[in-house]
Amino acid sequence: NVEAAADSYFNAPNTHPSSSAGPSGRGDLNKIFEQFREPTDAPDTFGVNGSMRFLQSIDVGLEESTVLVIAELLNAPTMGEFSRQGFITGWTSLGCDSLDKMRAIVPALRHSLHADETTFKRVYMFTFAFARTQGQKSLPLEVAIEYWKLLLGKRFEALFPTWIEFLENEYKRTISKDTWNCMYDFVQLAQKDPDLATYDVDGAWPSILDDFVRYWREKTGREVRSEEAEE
Amino acid sequence: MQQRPRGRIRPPRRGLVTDQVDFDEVWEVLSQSLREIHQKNASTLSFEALYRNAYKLVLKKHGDGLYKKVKELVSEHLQYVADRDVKPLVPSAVITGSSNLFGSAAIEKRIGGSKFLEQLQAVWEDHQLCMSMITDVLMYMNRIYCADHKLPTTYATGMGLFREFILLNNVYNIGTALNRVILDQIQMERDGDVISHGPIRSCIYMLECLYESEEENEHERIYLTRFENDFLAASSEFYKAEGQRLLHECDAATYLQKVDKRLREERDRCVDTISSLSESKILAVVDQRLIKENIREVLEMDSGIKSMLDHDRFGDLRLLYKLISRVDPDKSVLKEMACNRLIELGKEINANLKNPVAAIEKEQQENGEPSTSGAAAVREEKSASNATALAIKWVNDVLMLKDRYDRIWEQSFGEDKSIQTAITRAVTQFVNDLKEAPEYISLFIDDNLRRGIKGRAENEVDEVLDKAITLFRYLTDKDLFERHYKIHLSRRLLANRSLSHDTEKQMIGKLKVEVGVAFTSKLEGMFKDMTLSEELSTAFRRDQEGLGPDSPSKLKFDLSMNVLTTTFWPTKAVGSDSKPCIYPPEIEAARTSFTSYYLTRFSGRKLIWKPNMGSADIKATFKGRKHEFNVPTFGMVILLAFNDLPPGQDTLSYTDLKEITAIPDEDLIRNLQSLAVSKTRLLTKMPMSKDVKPTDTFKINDQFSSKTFRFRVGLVAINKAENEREKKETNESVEKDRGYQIEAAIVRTMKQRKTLSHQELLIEVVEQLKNRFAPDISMVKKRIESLIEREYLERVDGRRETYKYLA
Repeated sequence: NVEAAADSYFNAPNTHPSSSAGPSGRGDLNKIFEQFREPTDAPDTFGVNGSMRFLQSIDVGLEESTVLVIAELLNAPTMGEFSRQGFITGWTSLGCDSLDKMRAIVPALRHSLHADETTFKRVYMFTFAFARTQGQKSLPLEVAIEYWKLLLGKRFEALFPTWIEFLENEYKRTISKDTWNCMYDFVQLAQKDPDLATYDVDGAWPSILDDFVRYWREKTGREVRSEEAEE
Repeated sequence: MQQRPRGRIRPPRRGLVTDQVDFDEVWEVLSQSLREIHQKNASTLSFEALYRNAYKLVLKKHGDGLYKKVKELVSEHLQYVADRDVKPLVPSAVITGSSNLFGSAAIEKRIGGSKFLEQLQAVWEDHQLCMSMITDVLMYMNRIYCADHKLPTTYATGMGLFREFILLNNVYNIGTALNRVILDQIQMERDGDVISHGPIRSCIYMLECLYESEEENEHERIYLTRFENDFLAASSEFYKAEGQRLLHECDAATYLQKVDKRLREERDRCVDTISSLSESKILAVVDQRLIKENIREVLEMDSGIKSMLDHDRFGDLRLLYKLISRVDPDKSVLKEMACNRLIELGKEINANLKNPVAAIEKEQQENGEPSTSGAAAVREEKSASNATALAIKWVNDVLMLKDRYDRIWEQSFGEDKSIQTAITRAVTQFVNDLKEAPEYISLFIDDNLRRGIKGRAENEVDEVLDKAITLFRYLTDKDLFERHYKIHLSRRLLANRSLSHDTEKQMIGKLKVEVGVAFTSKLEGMFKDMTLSEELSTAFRRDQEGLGPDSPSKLKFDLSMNVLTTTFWPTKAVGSDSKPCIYPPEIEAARTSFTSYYLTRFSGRKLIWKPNMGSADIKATFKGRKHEFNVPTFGMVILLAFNDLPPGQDTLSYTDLKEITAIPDEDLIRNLQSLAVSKTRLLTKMPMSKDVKPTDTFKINDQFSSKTFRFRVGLVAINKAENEREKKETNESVEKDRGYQIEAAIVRTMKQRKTLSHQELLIEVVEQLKNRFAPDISMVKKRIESLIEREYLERVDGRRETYKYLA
């Protein structure tokens, strides 16, 4: 029952005691994991080729945001890599012990990204570490932009082109974890207040967003809130 | 009053009267007598007989009838009075209505009005008298019957009847006419006529004594209910028109005086003409109409606040303050306009400074001098005049302006705290508006400590230092001041230009009081270095004396050193980059000798030599005359190069000099300019020109002469472009410094508070740094972000606005 499984996943992620995947299920998942591991891969890990084959076999396109939902579910350490531990725990929590079951649950996972805010937030916050090259503290701008397109393109529609334009022409630096995380809050604000009238430049926003809002206000000729203007 | 048991006050019945009384019969007697009272024939009556009659009636339960009959009788009488005495004198509305009457009409009006008032006064006094006599007669009824039945006393009833039959008489409109006449009289007085106050005062008194009902509620006095509103409304109209008229006719000062006079008049009127109950209300009308509604316009007049401030019109300003305080405890218009003028003047001072040419031209135009080519030359010279002169002018101008406003504040604004705050804010604004302010204040101090305070008494010196401190308080960028002060102080100390170390220390003491020890510790460190260096030089000299004349360490000249601690002194003076050069052998020997001496005393230290900071005294003979002069160390190295020329050669080219001395180009050029191009030309340059080129050659100027035995060769000023570059460097280093300080303040705060909201953190950081500079909020935010990135701080989960300190 896909719906029930998905529901239980959303309600109690990662802690849900598996009902259908007992010790035998673990064994099955281990076997599936081995299918994608290649001799050159590190132990308990499968790499880029394995990842591509795996995603194809559960009907997930490499370019779609569902990849991130799967990666978060299986706690993938980085792009193009899955660990045995995360793979087994993740699927067990959804009660999936076969590729068929996985394939069956994918549409629900795909849908959950934008339908369920807690899922989205979790996936969004996960993505920074996932997208980062190991050992690096921040994301190269182009990488960040690609992931933002994937995740925010829709919810941030009105401001998105200006945001990208600002990043590419004005900001031109790498993206810190703090900026990445605060962007989630900013998008929420922009959804509630498309004119950004309640945005406070002296507030706790990272300065990149202050600069962006100034850029955007200037570009669109918007007046700053009257009380700010008075100061 | 509580109802009393009747038995106690009832007099003994026995032997007084018969048991039964005929009401009509007794009333007939009584009424006859009351009429006599109204006819003013009371003297023929026996009070005792009347009292007894009334007493009898009440005793025999005829109180009710008696009460009603008396009321009827008084009513009849008052109706009669109204018809006979008052009506003929009621002025017609036509005569009183308009105030624009001429000659006889006005006189007629005044006389008519007076007669009416006098008549009313007489009627009222008669009535009061009669009523008190009647009340006396009916005392028993009042005490027993009225009290028992809670009815108004005879007197109160009588007053009520007066109200009904006279004042509110609908047929004759006496009350309305009375209001009209009084208001007319007041109007005449306001217009300057002399009126008689007595009748008005009496009528007003009457209105005060009468009430809307027999309950006689305090707030229902006829004066309040039927007169005062008319009076206030008429006054409001009058003062509205008067305000407009005065705005057209008067200058600002006269306007204020007239308002003040009006206020006094109205206050007097409430004492001698109308009731004091109205005082606060009528003053509020004047306040509203003449002050509140017009004050801004008055202040904006040409003769308004600007002119009063500019010409120190203390009296006018005092009156202005007094009047504005009446309508606005904040005095916001006054504060706003006074401070705007102050800022305007302050900015003028700043602007004149930035554009001395314009200032001079303006002066010339004012003096009627034509702008000639001569003036143009002066202009050029002026615009190139040094920063010190500008700084002193600016400091003096600003202080003069501030003193002027302080005096006005003392003399005219009652030392009002909120105005003081506003003045402070205004001065802060224009002082900090001038980018050079921190430098200028430091230059002002520098100039005074170098020469200004020479020969002055202690208290005068103190005064000068306090002037500087006064301005220093207004500075927001105190860190910039510190930077300049360090440079200036180092120049004074190293070049030995300071007049008095005591005064220097006094100044630092004052700074310490203002902003604390952290600010001055480096400055004090500089003094410590100087003292230590002096001790060191003496010790070194003593050590030298102990050496045999042939010792290789023995110097052939006197050497004194300043050893400076890198962190105390401005980077400019002690920057870690050493400027090496090749010293002549005897100088190099001295250097080595001192170095080894120093390092034996303080092992593990490193000495960096800064020849660009030092100077040397040289003895030389020109045209047979001996001279002793002081040159910069580099200059000395250059000059000594000419000593060692092989016979026959007397010139050295720039390239030769560069090779021999290895002085960095920048310094070499500057020193050559000082020696060969400036006033004291110890060298001759070929070809003669201002600039020094690599192809130029130099030789000793044999023709040199000087009037004095001792003289000094100063370094030429660095060119302007370099100044710009330096400025940029300074700015960058200031920004960097501030960044560190902000970060330190954030970490200090967060370490102590562990978690803190964004806003609280900002407030805390700004507060901590206010004695150094006013941090830019976006700069603080960037530092916070940087600390987050470096994992000193993190945002609390789910609360973006709160930070947590990570130990």
